[in-house]
Amino acid sequence: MTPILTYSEDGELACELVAAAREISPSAEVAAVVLGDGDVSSLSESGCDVVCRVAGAAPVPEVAASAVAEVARQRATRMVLVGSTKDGKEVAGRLSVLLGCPAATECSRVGLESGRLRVERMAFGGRVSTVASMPGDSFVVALRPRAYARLGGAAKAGVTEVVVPAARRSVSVESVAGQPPSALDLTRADRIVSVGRGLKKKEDLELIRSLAGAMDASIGCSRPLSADLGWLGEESHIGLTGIQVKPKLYLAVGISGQLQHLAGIRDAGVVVAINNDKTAPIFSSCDYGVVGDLYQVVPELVAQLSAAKGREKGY
Amino acid sequence: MPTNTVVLLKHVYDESQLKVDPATGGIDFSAVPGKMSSFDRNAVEEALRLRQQLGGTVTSLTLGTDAAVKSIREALAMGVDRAVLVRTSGETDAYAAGALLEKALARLQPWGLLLCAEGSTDTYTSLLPGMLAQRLGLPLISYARSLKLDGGALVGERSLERKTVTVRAALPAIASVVSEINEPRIPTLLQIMGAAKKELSVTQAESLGVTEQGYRTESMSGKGRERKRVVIEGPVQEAVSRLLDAMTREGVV
Repeated sequence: MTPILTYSEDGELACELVAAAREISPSAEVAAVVLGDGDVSSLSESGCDVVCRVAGAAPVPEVAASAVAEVARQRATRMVLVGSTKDGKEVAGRLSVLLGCPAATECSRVGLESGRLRVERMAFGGRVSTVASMPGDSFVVALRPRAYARLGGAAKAGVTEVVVPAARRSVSVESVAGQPPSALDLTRADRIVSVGRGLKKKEDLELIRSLAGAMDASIGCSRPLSADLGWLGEESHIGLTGIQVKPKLYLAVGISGQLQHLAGIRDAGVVVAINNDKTAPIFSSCDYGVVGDLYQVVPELVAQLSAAKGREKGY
Repeated sequence: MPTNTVVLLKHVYDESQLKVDPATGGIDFSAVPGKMSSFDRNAVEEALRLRQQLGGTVTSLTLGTDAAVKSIREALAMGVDRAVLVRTSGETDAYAAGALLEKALARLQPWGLLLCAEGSTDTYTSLLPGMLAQRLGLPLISYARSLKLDGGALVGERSLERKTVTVRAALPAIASVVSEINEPRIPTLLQIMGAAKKELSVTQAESLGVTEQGYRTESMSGKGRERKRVVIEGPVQEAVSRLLDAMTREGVV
């Protein structure tokens, strides 16, 4: 049977893609493509049959696409799963053209049905869920982070070195400004306290930090805080054009609840909102909402959480 | 030498105006007004801003039905010099859209810069920038939060999930922009009236000879996840106490 290729520049996501490939076909060979000379031990234990390492290839979209296409050519397949990150979506578009097959991005489910590959994805700012299909043997599908959990207890796969012709680099990198390595990956957080325009000044983030501390939560934000005001980094931006999260608890503080933000929290467990505007759309899209000034509600919530913790510990 | 710019423009259903049947999740598109895909305004604005240095013209290129003329006129009012509509009978999948745009872009030569949004606000596949870069063999600066010209090169900051990467590419080049790149201008009444006189040429998509690759939308549902919508009002201490009780019952604190 024709193999399924997987590729993501994100190490965790790369392992999740293997689980998705197994779901498409339990019997097909799953070949995980990895670029560069990094550690592949996690990927080799993700449940794939083989790791195809393309040494010397930089994980930038134009190089990645041509490398994956070359591996696809060598293995005579046109079935490819990539990660639906920003770079991953560029790779998906390029691969679609290189392999001559349809593509879908931002997918949350994938599976074979009556010989066609079916995918689920959001449209219209997260308001509409769509089921689409493509030929079962010819597709490029970009899957969202955390859509699948990596498989456990898999045997270690072998690593094959793949040689591909050197790709032309048309875009040169001048500099990279990274986030601090301690920045938490919000897509994996159990609890998120998220803040929006209701916050009056950057210094008041301390208030949000104290709440996040009391709840053992990570901090996210709506687009204006990262993109326009720059109070938090882009890695904290939750929404259609940012990241999509699925924590057990999502606490939105001073967030009005525009569609584009809600697109990022559709899969959240319990959604709680604190907002002083009773008519804010977030109150129609939350499980529990408190109407009130965040500058009063948040300190009170921190105080009551601390008191509850104190009681638990028997103080 | 002046360099021309092409900017891609899409007319979409306004997602904030979708009417969803709460029982079935069915969507009635017939009454939904159309609009210019939100991030396309940023692409148009950036094209107009860079035109000052490039010295050439800005042409908008749209794939869509006649309804798209509404958005095209808006772009012309913003300052786009002329517009091209490749008229389709309905939705086009991303693969076919890439093939059609490749052919339409060939007819618009010479140009040195192609701008588009990171994605459209309807389907948000974000596939076209990568597809076009691959089809045309041109450099792509995707997810640009800033763009500037430096000699014959385009320098951009790519806004990725966990890093910002500054990259350089020689023209001709393609860039897809994110919405924080600029604040789109709002045309004056005079500009809106003037837009009616600008050139809008129409090509039939069928004449370009492109076939789709088998992507099919099977179903759509607007049935969102139901939330409990318990809204707590009243004195702060009491409201917070009730909220904490609820969160404890849910087992999330």
